[in-house]
Amino acid sequence: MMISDNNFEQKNRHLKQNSMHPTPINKQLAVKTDGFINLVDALEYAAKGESGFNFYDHRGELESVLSYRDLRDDARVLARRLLGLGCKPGDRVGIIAETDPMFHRFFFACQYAGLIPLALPAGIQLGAHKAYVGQIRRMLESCGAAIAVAPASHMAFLEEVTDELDLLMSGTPEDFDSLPEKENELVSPSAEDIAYLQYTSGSTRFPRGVEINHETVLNNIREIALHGLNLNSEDRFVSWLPYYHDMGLIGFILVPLIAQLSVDYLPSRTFAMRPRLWLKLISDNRGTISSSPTFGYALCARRLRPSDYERYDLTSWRTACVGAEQINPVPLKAFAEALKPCGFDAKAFVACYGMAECVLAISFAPLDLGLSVDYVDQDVMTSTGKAVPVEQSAANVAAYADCGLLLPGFEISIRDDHGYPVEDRQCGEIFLKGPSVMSGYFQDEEATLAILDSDGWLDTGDIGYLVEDRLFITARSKDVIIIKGRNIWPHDMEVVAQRVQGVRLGGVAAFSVTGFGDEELAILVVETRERDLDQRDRLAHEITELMHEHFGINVVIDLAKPGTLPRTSSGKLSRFQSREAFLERQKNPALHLPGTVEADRKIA
Amino acid sequence: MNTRFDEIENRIKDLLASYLESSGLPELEQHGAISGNTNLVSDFTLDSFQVMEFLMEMEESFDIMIDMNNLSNAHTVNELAKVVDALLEK
Repeated sequence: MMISDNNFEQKNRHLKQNSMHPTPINKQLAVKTDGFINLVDALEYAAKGESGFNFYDHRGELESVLSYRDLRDDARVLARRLLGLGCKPGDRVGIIAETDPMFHRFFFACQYAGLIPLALPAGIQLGAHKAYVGQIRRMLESCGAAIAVAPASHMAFLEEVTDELDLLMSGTPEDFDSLPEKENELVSPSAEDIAYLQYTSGSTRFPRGVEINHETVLNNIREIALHGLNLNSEDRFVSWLPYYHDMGLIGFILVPLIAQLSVDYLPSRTFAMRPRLWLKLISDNRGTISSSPTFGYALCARRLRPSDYERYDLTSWRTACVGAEQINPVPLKAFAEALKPCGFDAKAFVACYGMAECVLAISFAPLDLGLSVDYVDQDVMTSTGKAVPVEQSAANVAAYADCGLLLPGFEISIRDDHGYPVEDRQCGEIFLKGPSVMSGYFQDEEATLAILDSDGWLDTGDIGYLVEDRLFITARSKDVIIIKGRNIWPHDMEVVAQRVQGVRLGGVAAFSVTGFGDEELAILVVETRERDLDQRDRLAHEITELMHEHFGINVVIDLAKPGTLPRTSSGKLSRFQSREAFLERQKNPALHLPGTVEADRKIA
Repeated sequence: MNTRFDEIENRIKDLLASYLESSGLPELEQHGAISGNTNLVSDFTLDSFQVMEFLMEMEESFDIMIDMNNLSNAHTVNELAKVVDALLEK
C-alpha cells in the first residue's frame, strides 16, 4: 500500500552498518572552522570524527545515516564516476534536492570532481505537474547543465525535462552507481573555483543562479559558526528546511559539516504534514540548534495538542534562529508561550538577516537574549521613513525585530533614494560589501551589473534602518514578495496571470500587503473589460488556480476596469503606486469595484 | 455501480467539509455542497501548507501514505479519489 521507495536499499546499507544509531557528538575531534581552503578540505577533516547526517522518515523514525567518513568515501568514488562520463571542470550538475543522502553524495562528489552542483526544487504542489517540470527545465537550461540526477520518486518528472535537453547523463543515483570509475587522481578545487550555484527564484522565467566560490562560502560559514552561533562540540543541529533554499543548504548541511557537528533531518513534506515531529526530534536527540522562517514556528504552534506538553523536552534547544522572511514577533511569542511547559526558552530565538547573494547570513541578534523588538510610530514611518520610538501600547505602532550586528566581514551603507547615506533611525535601501558577497549571477552579466557595482557594493533591495550598528529590516526587498518562505517575483505572477483569457495584456500588477495577523498577503490587480459576472468569476478562478500551481500561495484577485493601474510617465506600470491605490480603494467603499475576491475579508 | 469508489469520494467530501469548517474557512458556505468536480486549489483559498494538512487527514482516515508526486495531476475531489482508490488497490 505504501509507495515504494527505490532508494530504500541504498539507504539501508548505512543503517545496517551503523545498526540504527544516529551519529553522535564528536568526543575526540576538536571543533575547527578555519584553515580550510575549500569544501573538500573541510569534509576531509570532518571525516576524522564520528559525526554526520541522520535522516528520519515520515513517521519520524531513523531511516538512514551518513557519517562524514562515509560521505567522503562515497563522494570520492562518485566523483571518479562523474569524471568517467567525460565531464569537464566547471560543468554543472543539477540535483533534485529531496531530503535524502543522495543529495549530500552528489553535492560533494561535485566538489571532488571540480564540477558545480545546483540544488533543484523537490517540492511539488497539488495539481502542479506542468509548472514543476517547467521550473526544473528552466533552471537546467539556464545554467547549461551537463548532468541531472533525481531520486526515483522524481525521475518521471526529470525524464520529461531531459528528453528535450542535451545532457551528458541524467538518471537516478543507482544509474550513476553502475558507471565505471575513472582512474584519474582527484584535483582539489582552488579557493576561487565556484563551489555551487544557488537559484534565487526557480519560478522566474529567467532564473538567476547566485555564484559562490569556495573562499566566499567558507568565509560566511566561519563567521556564522564563530560569531553568529558560537558553535561548540556539544552542538547538534535539527532541520526540516529544504536543501534548495539557502537556509537548508548552507545553514543545515554546510555549517554543521564545516564545524564537524551532527545533523538530524526531517523531510520538509513531513514537517508540513506533521510539524510536531520537529519537536519530537529535537527532544529525542537533544538538538541544540534548529531554525525556521516565522511561518514554521506558527504552523507548529497551531498544531500543538495539550498532551504534547508532557511529551517533549525542549530544554536542549539553545538557539532557534528566525529568518528568511520578515520577522513577525506575534506568532513567535505564541510559540514560546505554548512550549514553555516543555522547557522551550523564548531567549533561544535569534533574529537573523541574510540572503543567498551573501551565501546565507549577514547579521545575527545576540545569543541567549531572545527577540528584541523596536516599537516605532507607524504613521511617521509611512510618511517619512523615520523610525521614531513609541510605547508598545501606543495607537498605530509598528514592531520591528532587532536583527543584531553585522557579521564582522560586512560593511553596510543605508542610502536614500538619491544614493546618499542616511542617519540612524532613518529607513533606506541596504547596500552591503564584504568577503561573503557573491561574485555575481552565473553567466548573467546584465543581472549582475544591476545589483553589484564596480566597488563591490551589493544592492540588497531590502529596506531597513540602523540603531547604533544594530540592523532593523522594515521590508524584504522592494520587489520580491515573500510568503511562507517562498520568494516570489511580482513580475512572474504578472506574466502567469496574463495567460488567462480575458486578462488585459500589461494590465496586471502584483504586490503584497500586510493582512490580518500581520501575515504577508499577495495581491494581484487584474484589468479586464469583462462585465459578465459569471465570466469575471471564471477569470478569478482561473487566475487563482494558476497562482497555486506556479507559486503555491493564495492570492487576492482584484478585478479592475482598464486604466485603473497607475503608470509612470514612460508608460511603465508602477507596482508601488498600484499598491498605494489598492489600499486606498480598500478604505473607500465608494471606489470599491465589484468582483474583488475576498479582499474585504482579508485586508486588515 | 462502483460502490467502493463512491465511498472513497464521499469520504473525501466529508473530510474536506470538516477540514474547512475546523480551519475556520468560510468558503464552504460560498461554495455550496462539495462535489466530485470541486477543485481543491481554485474553489478554496487553501495554501500549500493547508493542502498538506488536509492530505495528512486523508492519510490517517484511509490509512495510506500518499506520495505528493502522485498528486501532481490531481486538482479535484474526483481526481483525488482516483489516487486513493489506486493506493488501496495495492
